[in-house]
Amino acid sequence: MSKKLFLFAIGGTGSRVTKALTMLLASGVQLPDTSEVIPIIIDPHSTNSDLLRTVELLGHYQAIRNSLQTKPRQGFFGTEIKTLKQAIGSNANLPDNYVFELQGVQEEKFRDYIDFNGLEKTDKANGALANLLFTEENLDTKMDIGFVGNPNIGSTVLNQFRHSNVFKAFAENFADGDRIFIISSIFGGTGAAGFPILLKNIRNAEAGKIANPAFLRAAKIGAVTVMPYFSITTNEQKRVDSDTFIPKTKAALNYYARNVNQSVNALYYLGDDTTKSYTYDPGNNGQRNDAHLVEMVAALAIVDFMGMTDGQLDLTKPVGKDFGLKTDTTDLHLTHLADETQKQIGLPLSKMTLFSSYLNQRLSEAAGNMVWSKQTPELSSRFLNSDFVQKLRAFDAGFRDWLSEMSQNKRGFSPFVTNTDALNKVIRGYEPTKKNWLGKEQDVVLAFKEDYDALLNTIVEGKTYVSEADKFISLFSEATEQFIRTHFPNLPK
Amino acid sequence: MALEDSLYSFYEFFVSDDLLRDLYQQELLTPLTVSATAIALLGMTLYYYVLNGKRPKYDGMGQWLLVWLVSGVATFLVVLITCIQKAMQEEPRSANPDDGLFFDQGTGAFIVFSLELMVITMLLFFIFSVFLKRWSTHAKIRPFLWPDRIR
Repeated sequence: MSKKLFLFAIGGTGSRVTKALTMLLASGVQLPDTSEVIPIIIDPHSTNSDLLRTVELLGHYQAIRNSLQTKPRQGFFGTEIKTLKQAIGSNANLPDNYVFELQGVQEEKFRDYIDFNGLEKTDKANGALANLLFTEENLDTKMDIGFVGNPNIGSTVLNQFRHSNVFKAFAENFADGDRIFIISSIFGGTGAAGFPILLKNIRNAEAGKIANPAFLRAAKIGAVTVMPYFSITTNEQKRVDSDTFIPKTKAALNYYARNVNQSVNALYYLGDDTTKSYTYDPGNNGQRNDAHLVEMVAALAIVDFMGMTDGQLDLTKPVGKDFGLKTDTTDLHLTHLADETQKQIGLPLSKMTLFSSYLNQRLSEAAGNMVWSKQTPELSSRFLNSDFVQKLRAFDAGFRDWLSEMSQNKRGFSPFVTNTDALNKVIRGYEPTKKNWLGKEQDVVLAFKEDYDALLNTIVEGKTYVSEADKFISLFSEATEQFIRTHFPNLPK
Repeated sequence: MALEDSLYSFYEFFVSDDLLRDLYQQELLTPLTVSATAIALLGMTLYYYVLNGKRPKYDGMGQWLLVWLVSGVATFLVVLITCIQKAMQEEPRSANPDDGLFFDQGTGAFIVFSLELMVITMLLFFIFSVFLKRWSTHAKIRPFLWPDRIR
């Protein structure tokens, strides 16, 4: 029976990993036996760029999929992604978006949130306790930019989640067999605090207080907790100090070992000691970190988790996993990843990259001029200007940015060449060669028109499609797969 | 001879009587018409099933027009050379010298006739294209998709 995946993405890392997962799902990576993914992003810094970019991409993904009359079960955009409201039904009293909006954090200092001044006057004991737990700097933190590396603030504020309509709606919609995955970082404020709190609220679900408590308590929960993989440039005013990342990680790991690990069915730990430094920028539209391989690997943890059987996810024997590379280098290609990882992402990402290249370099010339485009339903210049193609192009721009950012990050992951019309060069490390008549190895030349359009023409013969959009996605998903399987035989699949 | 007779009747509409009679008597109407048809068929096959057989390498409208034109020119040359060669043989039409020589109409008449067969070839090329392109994977939309607007 297909199951739903409730994906809780906490903090900036949560958003970025969700973005990576969206890219993988759009490329055709499959979550085994999963009917739909329901992302719920929890981040007090609601204007941070990473979150906004992720939400925008999710919107494009959904718009593209909704344009298809026959929803694909595999290939491009083959997985259903829904907001919680959509998953429940239109009557649910929830905002129709992916973000859980924390109350009382906009333009409000933590001091005001806990009514610290009132506490000191009316409840001296608790006031003294709060004074002990929170520094003046903590109390003066404005939370609309997040918890800026302070899990002690986060753990207080994020507790409101259990009283929220979102949490109640999630519980009501959670069925036996559905799964939960939580994405967080361990070295900041929001993720480090949010993960244990969320987990506690799910595992301690009580009858009478929340729906489906038995299901929630027995739910298969997976989590990825990301350890430091970037740093922050030092300056005088900074409120996040990357020198504290490691001590905070150690402290949090110690806490997790005692309070978290035994409540999670599968826990994935990720991190990297090769890091890039970002300028500290917590303001509006700030926190725009480049995409990183670690985030994609974290997204693969979700794929791995959904592929595990219920028998493998025994809470009495929690599974702990980490990730290794085949070759330790700072500029990674697919060939540097383990064969299993290559099998998971090699073909889908290559397909999407090839599709992206076609979209950018060839489509406008080919549409209306090649047999595959003329065959009914015709993909004409009118189609190229349609809302569907605009959404697709917007998603593709995000995909290209994602690849480009990963390639420029540390460590870099640059498996593809995206701006070439020599299609044989697209997958780094797997460029096809053949022996010439002298027995010498030489490149196999692959071109858009002579090779790729030829394949599209062949595939489209005798096929029927219900709409232009369906034809476009289905045809290109099939063609890119055949093209790569035929011309890149060494790529593990 | 039945074919030759039929072709004579056909060419009567637009070929000069003198040249047509010579062509008929030399039994050239059939081979020249077959050549024109064969060239059209060859040109069509070349475009749809050789040049664009495995890959859409020369599938543009410009390339279709070029092969179309080349087929016509090929027929033009074949017909013109045939007529000139026949004229150069200076074969008398009969024992009576007043009847003159075969193909003594002059190059101008040959060119006009060659152009007429060139047009026929191009017309046939077009007709063959329309009806036989449907089996082409990569170029069936040339010169246009009709009547192959099929699923």
